[in-house]
Amino acid sequence: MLEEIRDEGAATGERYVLNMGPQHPSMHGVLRLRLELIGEEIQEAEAVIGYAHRAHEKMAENRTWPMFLPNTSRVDYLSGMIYNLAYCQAVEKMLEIEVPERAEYIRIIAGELNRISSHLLWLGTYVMDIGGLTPFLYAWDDREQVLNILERITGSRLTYSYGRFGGLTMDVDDVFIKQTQVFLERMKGRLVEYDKLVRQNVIFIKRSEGVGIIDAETCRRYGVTGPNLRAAGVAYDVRKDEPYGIYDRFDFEVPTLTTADSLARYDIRIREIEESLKIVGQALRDLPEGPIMPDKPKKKFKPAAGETYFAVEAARGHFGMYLVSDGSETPFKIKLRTPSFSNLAAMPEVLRKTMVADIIAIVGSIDIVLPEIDR
Amino acid sequence: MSGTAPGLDGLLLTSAAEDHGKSGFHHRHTCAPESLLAIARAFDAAGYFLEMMTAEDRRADLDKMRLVYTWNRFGPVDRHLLQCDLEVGASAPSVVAATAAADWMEREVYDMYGVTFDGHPDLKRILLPDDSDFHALLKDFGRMEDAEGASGNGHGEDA
Amino acid sequence: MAGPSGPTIALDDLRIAERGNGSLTTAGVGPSLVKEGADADEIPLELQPYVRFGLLEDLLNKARANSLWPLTFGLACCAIEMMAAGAARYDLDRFGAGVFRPSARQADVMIFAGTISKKMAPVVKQLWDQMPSPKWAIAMGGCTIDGGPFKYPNQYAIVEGADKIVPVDVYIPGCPPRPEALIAGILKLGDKIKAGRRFKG
Repeated sequence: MLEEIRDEGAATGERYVLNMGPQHPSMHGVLRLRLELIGEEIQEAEAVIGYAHRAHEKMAENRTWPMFLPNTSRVDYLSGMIYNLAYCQAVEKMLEIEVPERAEYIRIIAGELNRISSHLLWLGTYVMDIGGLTPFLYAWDDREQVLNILERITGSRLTYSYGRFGGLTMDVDDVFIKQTQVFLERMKGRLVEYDKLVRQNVIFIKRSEGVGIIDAETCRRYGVTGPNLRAAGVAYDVRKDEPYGIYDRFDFEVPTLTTADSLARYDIRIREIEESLKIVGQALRDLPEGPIMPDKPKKKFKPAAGETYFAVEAARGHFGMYLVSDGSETPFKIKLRTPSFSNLAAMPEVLRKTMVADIIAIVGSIDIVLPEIDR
Repeated sequence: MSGTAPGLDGLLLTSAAEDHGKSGFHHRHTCAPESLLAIARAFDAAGYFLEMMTAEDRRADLDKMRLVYTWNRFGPVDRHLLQCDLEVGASAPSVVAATAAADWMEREVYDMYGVTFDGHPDLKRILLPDDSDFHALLKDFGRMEDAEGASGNGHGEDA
Repeated sequence: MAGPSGPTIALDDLRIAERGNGSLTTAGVGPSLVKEGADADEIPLELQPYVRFGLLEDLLNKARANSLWPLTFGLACCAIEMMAAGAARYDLDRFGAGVFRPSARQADVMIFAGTISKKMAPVVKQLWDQMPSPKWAIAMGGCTIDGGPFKYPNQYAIVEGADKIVPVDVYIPGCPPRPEALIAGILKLGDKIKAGRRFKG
């Protein structure tokens, strides 16, 4: 039946262009998809981006190294802590600055809490996109708990400038530790609820299972990373393969599945929340006393000329920073290799021959943030 | 998914191993523009992926536009930095035929630096508005010092 | 107009009393019609919270202020705080403003949540033109006020402020503003609406 419609459409020229976005309710930001359809089936999909281009890389070249710190959180504001700390760690690598132990552990805690809040946000919005309006409220309430905890040490809910070159701005106190432990306990029960509320729901399964298969070879050809890659069976996680900070001291798994559909991507992210909870628990247990900044923190500096690359595992995948210094106080260039750019690049191919309703599910399941694509 | 390191003999101008702990790269290479496609094919055949591609405006000190590629694989990690210097105004061969990731990456380099890529299926702007008449990351464009009434570090008051 | 158990107020005895001074509560704002020399006791006490006499326009304005339907228009980071304001903890629904409409034709207020890039500006204008009157605009976050953290001399990519494209009614500073700040801004817009002021068109 579908073949007949397609052939007839191709013969009579009944192909029409549907424009989705850049203003669109399915909450991914300002993405524009230009779809060529025959009936409900997509023949060609083109992603038009650039609507959130804010000139981060140009700003980096126009200001000093420390002045780029506020930009970092706003590149991907959903894992803003991870990005902010990534920039600090990249510059620390470039300048060979030693970070105190306590700061390293707190960075792990803050980063993993940020990852959990990002995945919770994604859970709420993904299920909302495909029609389930209730889990959004539950997931975002859990996320508010994380935001409370992080607000205590940073002052911000969303865009953090918590890291400094060599350490952190504020130390954590006992209340923070208690709140985090309470949160860890609470999440165990909540994940069971999400399983019952969402994962067992037959409509959710029908809209996600088998939808949007991005296999490992496609991932490699486009450089797709993160939960999307792990749902395709490739156990690549920067925290394990290129450990940074003190991640090599923690005991956690990298979950993979082989089905590579939207349901698998959902399952992977839930498993990643569980693994992050494990990491936070271990970090709280082993948190040492001590300072959080080195004795003589660097504020003004001129790094030696040269190139450095530093990668972290952000919530969406491999986030890399390519720093080029020309020996001055201003970076010569900072290139942000953002995971969503590569993840979205695979979409035109993946969306071919799918139905319009499935686009929402697929684009939602790969978890993109437009400002990190457009930078 | 790991492959063996690609055979790049004869395709590179210079090549050296690097201390990944210091710079983040395992290898650093330079090549001539003509070899770009063959190198890309070699990496792709060996199971690597194009992790990042960008350019640097080196007209001031080298009188060249520098293209920068990093190739990596999913595990064990093996990051190759490839730098290719282009004459100013020259175009480079596109490597889209070797790896689909280059499609958007080359469009971004064209958009931001003005470098054109021969053989790219659809080289058009990707981030800036389609009718823009500038390339954003070139060093002589959009400098803070050139703004009217500009002073200092970007925190000036409005006139 | 005859009350259930009070004297009839003759039309020529009506005068418009002073308007309220814009407090953040929804009751007690707006004109009241009282008989010369009489006071609000004319309306029986038990009915005073429920019975109001007013100009039709004021009643309409009050209705508009208490059921503002925003357009889903998240551009960048502020969009997340806008969504958080609509979520369970901060709950815009209790102010009547939680019904986000995806279509501009059904929306009253456009909350600019995020940086407006130059590529996006024509889209913003188009959506604004699509909204039917009466319509209002809230500029949420530093980027929509004057470019915010992305403003620097010779910035090529963004529009420095939403008021360069549309007339803005309320500015909410912050980067991003907390959901409570957004709620305060929406309530402030409600005050503005109840006072009967808006830009035409």
